[in-house]
Amino acid sequence: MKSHPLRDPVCNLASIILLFVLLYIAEEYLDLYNKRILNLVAINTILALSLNLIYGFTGMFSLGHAGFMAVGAYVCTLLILTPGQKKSMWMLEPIQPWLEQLSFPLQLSNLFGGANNPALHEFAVQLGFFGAVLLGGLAAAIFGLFIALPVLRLGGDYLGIATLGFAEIIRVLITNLTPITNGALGIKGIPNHATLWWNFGWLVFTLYFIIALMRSNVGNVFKAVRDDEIAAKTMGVNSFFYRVLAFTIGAFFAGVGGALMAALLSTIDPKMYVMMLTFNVLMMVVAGGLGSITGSIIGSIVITVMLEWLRIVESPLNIFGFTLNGIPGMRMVIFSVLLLLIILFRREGLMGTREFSWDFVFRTGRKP
Amino acid sequence: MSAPRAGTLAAKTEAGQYSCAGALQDQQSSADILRLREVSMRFGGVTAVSELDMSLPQGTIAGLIGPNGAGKTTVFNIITGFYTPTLGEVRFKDKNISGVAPHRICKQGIARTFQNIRLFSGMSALENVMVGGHLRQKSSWWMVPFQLPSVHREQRELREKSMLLLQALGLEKVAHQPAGSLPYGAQRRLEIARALATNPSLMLLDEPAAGMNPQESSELMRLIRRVRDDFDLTILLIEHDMKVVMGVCSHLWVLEYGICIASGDPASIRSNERVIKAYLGQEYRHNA
Ligand SMILES: Nc1ncnc2c1ncn2[C@@H]1O[C@H](COP(=O)(O)OP(=O)(O)OP(=O)(O)O)[C@@H](O)[C@H]1O
Ligand SMILES: [Mg+2]
Repeated sequence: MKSHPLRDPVCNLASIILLFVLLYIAEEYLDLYNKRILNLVAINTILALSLNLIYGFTGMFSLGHAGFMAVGAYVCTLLILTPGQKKSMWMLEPIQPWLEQLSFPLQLSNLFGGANNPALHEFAVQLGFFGAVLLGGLAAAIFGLFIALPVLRLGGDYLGIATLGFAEIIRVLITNLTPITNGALGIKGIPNHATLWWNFGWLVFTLYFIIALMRSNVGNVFKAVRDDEIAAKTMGVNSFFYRVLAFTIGAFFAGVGGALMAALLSTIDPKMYVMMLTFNVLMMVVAGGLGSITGSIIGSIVITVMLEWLRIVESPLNIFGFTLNGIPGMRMVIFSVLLLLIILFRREGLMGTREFSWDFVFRTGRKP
Repeated sequence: MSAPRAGTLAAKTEAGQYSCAGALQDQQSSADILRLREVSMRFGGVTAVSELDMSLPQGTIAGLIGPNGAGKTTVFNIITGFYTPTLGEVRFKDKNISGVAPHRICKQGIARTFQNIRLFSGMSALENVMVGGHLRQKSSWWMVPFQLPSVHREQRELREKSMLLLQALGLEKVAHQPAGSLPYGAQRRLEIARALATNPSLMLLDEPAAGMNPQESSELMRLIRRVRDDFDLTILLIEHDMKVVMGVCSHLWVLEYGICIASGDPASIRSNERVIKAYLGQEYRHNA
């Protein structure tokens, strides 16, 4: 039976409104710890969706996510710190003068005359943060483009290794470009602009963008390149172009996620952006189901929450009078075992390639 | 030039349009949609195709036959741009297309199916066909998130057109099933539907009847003719099923070890001693 043509748009809109109502409640009533988990869920979902676009939908095994996140995080951070913060924090080597003066929120506030109008100042600060996150994403996309062009030109067989190397290079660069990045010391006191509103706002945008793309014929072409590149070429698909496209869009959203993460944690340093970070995102995508947007959302929620709960195994434990010392890194051992189990017993992840649909909701709703 | 070989060929073609030997080149008509000129393909020491000449007039259904490993699929791979011929050139609609990338060749109007079915198996039948149609879309990827009405309209038209193609091949009932889960015969037809979606003027079919029972293959013959008429195509097919080949093709080339040993209409090929010896076998003559 045919559903009303407006049913899906109305349902989508209603659920977005519901989401923001819930966020409002969460913002008002949740404690800091639980808010932080919610924020992490949103950011991790953005990251998982971006990796799913690259790996799940277009079939490119990429291990570069930590690198893109680092680019997004550093670009965004450098754009929102105040000149005063930069001056005092760069202790090993002074920061480049042009970079010191760069501060979107401050400059915008001056531009709007925010000094004598607090509301205008606040608006300038938020707009500045938005611009910084956007530029963080764009910078990551440019890096993505530059790595994709040569590697995918060669057919992409070594993409995994190449992107892994790329992420390491980014890390080494960040460590050594002290006048720009403050090197190994990292950056502290990043203004905590990444509220629930921003994180979920970006998540809704990411979801919208990727769903729109995957529902269009562009999505079909991505999947065609994944399923059989030779057949895709024969059907007139410029597979090189579409792989570069998916990779670059994925890198953009990874940069956005990295930028938000930096503003949420308020501290970044090069050691954060190791392979493990990529691995976490990979876990979410694989657990949820490669090639399923719904899967990425569920995977991110489950794994973010579990990662928090599992902190228990790393802290000292007292059971019936016996004290167990927490084992650092135990969380990751458990996670690796979990990943193995998924690969062995449920390769397709929780969702496979299935997607949530309103059809499904209404059909099951109608059954007695 | 291979003059001695030309003498033994059954090259008594009507207008001399079809050719196997170089000797016929000068008589080629300008209505030829595809022309191979002394095309050779070597892989290391193996010569898979050697000095092949072919010309295919617009609107015909022609066949490429020969024993296993004769180089038939290699010829298709050359025409569709997956291999660049070691020597010689391929001309399509009077343009040299040797060495052009496969997706560009598709855009110029050549579509094909594969000997070992190559569908996008994780995608639905409809999505498979829609991929074939992406070439003719005008909107580009970045317009999609803006929800422009023109993008929506184009998307809807593509979907409808793809559905019609599925209908034309009797696949409308399985439109939303994953391509990989379809029965064998349906997969073969889906490959044809997908190829048609690229809006080709030349269609290459690599063993379309492979694995089909006699009833299915006689349906296939009807289908091939219908598709040629409805879509205004020229068709070149590779096939081992002689009933199909003789029934549907108006002209044949016979390859053996990459060399064209004969070309002509089905009747002359059937009675060609060399072809019988190399490929058809004695029984075939008795049955025929
Ligand atoms: N990429 C390649 N590299 C090396 N050798 C190749 C390559 N492609 C084809 N060949 C060789 O070329 C010869 C012709 O192969 P081809 O697949 O064209 O035969 P065919 O006529 O299609 O046979 P069949 O009827 O079995 O499909 C074979 O000897 C094959 O091993
Ligand atoms: Mg073959």
